[in-house]
This record gives sequence, structure tokens and C-alpha cells, in this order.
Amino acid sequence: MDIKICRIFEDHLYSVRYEDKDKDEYNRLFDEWNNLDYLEKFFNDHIDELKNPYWCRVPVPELAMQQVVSEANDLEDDIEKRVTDNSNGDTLDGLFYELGGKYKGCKIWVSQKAYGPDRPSLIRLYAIKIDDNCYLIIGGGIKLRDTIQESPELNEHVLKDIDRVREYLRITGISDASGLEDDE
Amino acid sequence: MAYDKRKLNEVAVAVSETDVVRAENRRQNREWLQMAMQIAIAIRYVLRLKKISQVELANRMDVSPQLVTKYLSGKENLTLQTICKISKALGISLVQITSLKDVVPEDPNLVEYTIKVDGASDSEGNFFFDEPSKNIA
Repeated sequence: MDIKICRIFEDHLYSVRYEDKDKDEYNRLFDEWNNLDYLEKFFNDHIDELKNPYWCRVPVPELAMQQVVSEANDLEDDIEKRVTDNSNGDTLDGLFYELGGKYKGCKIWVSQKAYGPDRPSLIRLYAIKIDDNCYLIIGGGIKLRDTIQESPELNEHVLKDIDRVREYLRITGISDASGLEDDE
Repeated sequence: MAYDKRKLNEVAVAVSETDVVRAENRRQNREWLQMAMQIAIAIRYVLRLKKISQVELANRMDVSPQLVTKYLSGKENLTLQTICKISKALGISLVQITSLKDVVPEDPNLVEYTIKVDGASDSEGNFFFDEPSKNIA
């Protein structure tokens, strides 16, 4: 299993780099969310998803692109501030929420910030909480549906990646072996 | 479930230098990059709606298609001259100058007006502005 752990902000934020990717997930995702060619293709490929009443505020691809770019900028800034300057008490723990549904109790956390009072966030970072104010990013992407399983692209890799990384952490001794079974 | 942060630190490697530089570039240029992105998205929207290809836009602007690709990347620091040229080629207004009223809203002496940087020009290519609409504040 060729997985590398990259240090984004020492003691606070780490990111997985998968063997088939040329960069770690954290940097890959923020590059992707700032790549207009990628975003245009993504939303045109999934244009029917934007017709869902859930996305009535971003019914055209370009509005969704604007939202992703804006959200990504805010999120990257927010993460950096929480790591480098927590004088006001804000840490990464205030940014990540434990994943519910099928993954409830699996210690998988997700970044989730509302993009305005009535507009859900389009982007997600998925992470394993290593310690207080310390997370390992395992993946992410644009979430177009209520669940990962229903979201195109996310459902293709995020769920598999969660399992791959948990296995890697067990093999390397970063996680205790007993805990994995307890989570299932 | 417990995780060993010390062991995680032992196996962790540094992010590639390229990614460090790219992320730093994003952070340092956040404000204007955000504007460049929004302008590029607006141009893409108009191209799609009006069914204008990038090559056609390049022809209208008398620039190479490669240059248009750069404009549409959202990573170019566009000059006002370029923005006006794109606006003119597409017949749209991309940027508006903030009115003085927006800058200092508490000043009662200011009237509201907006100047469109819409690239409208006369037959000799000289740019001109719309007549400002005046509203008593």
C-alpha cells in the first residue's frame, strides 16, 4: 500500500498522498477548486444535479463555479488562521464535524461551512481526527447530494479512501489495532 | 480509537516545493486572484450563452487563442485595457467603478452614480462612458 503522509502544518494538519496522485489531497483539492477548466467540465458534466431543488440558488454551472472558488478561498484562509493564529480561541476543532450516517462513530470528520444562510456548502474536506486540533486529510471534493454515496465522483473514491487510510494507519501503528474493529 | 501523533510525525514527509510555492502564491495574491477568477467565470458564462467560441473571441480581440485561454484561467492579472477590450468584443460590462457614495456613504454631499467600464467606443476606437444616472442621496 503506497500511501504517504504529508505535513501541511506541523502538529495540526496532515494530508494523505495516494500512489496514483501527483500531489497530496489537501493541495490537490485546493488546486482543483481553483481550476476553472476543471470546474466548468465538472458542473457541465453534472448539470442535471444543479436542477435539484437543493441547489435552486446555483442553477447554472457558472454560479456554482463562483461559489466553489469563493468557498475554497474562505476555507483555505480559515484553516491557515486557525492553525497559525488561535488567539481568539478558534482551532481546527471548530471547523470539522464528525461525519454522521453510515460513518457515525468511525472518527471520520468533515469540514462543513454554510455558504450563507440558505445556501449549502458545495465543497468538503474529509479527515481523520488524530488529536485535538490535529487532523489528517484523506480526501474531499464537490458534494452535490445529501450523502457521499449519492454524490457523483465522491462516491467513487472517498469511501474507498477512508478504508485504505484506516488500514494504512493500522499497519504503521499510528492507530491502535483494537479500535478499528470497535468502530465497525 | 486512539492515534499516535508522534508516530504520525515520524512518517510524515514535507509537501513538495512546487505545492508550497503554489499555495503561498494563492495566499499572497488572494484578493486580485479572486477578482480575476470572477471575471473569467463571467466571460465563460457569456461565451456559453452567446455560443461564442474562444477562437472567435480571440479573433474579435485580435489576439491569439492562447492569450484568451490565459484570460479564462482566472490566474491572469488583467489590465484595465484588456478588460475593456474583452467587454467590447462581447458587448457586455465586466467591471464597474465603485461610486464615491459607496466609498464614503456618510458624506451627504455625494450623489449616487455609476460609471460602467463597458468598453463602448466610437468609430475611431475611443472609449466613452455612459451618461451617469444621478440620484440625490
